[in-house]
Amino acid sequence: MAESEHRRVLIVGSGPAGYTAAIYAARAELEPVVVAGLQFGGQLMLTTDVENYPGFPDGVTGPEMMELFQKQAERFGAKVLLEDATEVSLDGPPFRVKTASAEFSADALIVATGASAKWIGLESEQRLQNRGVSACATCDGALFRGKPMAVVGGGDTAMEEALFLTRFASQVTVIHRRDSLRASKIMQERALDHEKIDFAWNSVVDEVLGEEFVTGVRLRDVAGGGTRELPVEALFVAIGHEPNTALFRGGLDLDPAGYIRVERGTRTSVEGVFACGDVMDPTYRQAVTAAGSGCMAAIDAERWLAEQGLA
Amino acid sequence: MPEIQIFLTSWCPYCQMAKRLLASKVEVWLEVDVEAEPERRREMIDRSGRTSVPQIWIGEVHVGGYDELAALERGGELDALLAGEGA
Repeated sequence: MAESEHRRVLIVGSGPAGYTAAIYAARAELEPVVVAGLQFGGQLMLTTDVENYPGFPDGVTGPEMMELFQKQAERFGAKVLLEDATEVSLDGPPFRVKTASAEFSADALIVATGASAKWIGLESEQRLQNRGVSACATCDGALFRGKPMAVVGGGDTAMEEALFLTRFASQVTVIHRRDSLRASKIMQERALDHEKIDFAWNSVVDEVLGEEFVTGVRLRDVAGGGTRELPVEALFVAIGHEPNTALFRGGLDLDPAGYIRVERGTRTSVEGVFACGDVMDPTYRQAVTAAGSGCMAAIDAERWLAEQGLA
Repeated sequence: MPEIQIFLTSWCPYCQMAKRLLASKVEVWLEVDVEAEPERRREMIDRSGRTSVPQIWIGEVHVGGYDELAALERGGELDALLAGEGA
């Protein structure tokens, strides 16, 4: 293990929250390190078109956008490390963060570890993962050209995946447990109007069918309880996200769903530790709100450091 | 050094992430775009037993996708495998 490197601000996470915090902290000459993780760029890396981030009237792909965020942070001197944080000690300041090849101490810590896609939780779903079951339409959709596919979920992510899959699929069935969608109006309309998309309302996936590869799903009607089989070769799961807070359990106050609790802006239960983005936001979860809270966390951290005489 | 093969599609973000991780360590690998060459999709599925991209081989070792590549890196085993010292 290398000797511990000290920074005034360390940022864990590299989605829009983490990089915006890095831009602000770097411009405040706090020389931040961003522990970007092997899932660098966060959930936007799995997003095809970002159409609701102001400043991109023609849209931008998620990965392109995250590259721009990273460049902007690096331009002002942020150092980006492409490794996961493996251990965090909140007994500080200084706070300590370990990665595979490095160890850091920091006067202020900004947590921007985001959220990850949830799975349904079926044994058959797990067994057929990468064999037709996927949480990433942009990854695997093209491999099922001309085949029927299904998407589970009723939010914006599910609609985006379904619409993307229409480029390849013979038919896309959206499986949703309710009789109406919670996706934004514009995404709902696009999906409902699309000739290749149909809906299995009030339905949940009971079982993913297939020996070696997915051949279909068995759906259960949530009202009547009856089941039916839907032949598909790919199943994309888009039923929501859970916050990535495993590293902070026991260290920071979390809400019952696992999100980091913050007050007065982005302050967590540990003084000197700030949280921003999807890891503390069960409500909005947008790229632009994550970026906004990243800015808040950097400003909160800078002011806190000044109050402590550490800036 | 063992030959590195990645079966991928142009859309796939995990493929980009895999390439970025590899690019930090090696200069050359072989890419097979299974969207542009659909007949090679069958080859990928037969060899890996999987339908997802990317599928990565380092020499004779089938690594799997990006999650597995990242797990090797996390565990400190990727460098040895790339140097031809792996299992």
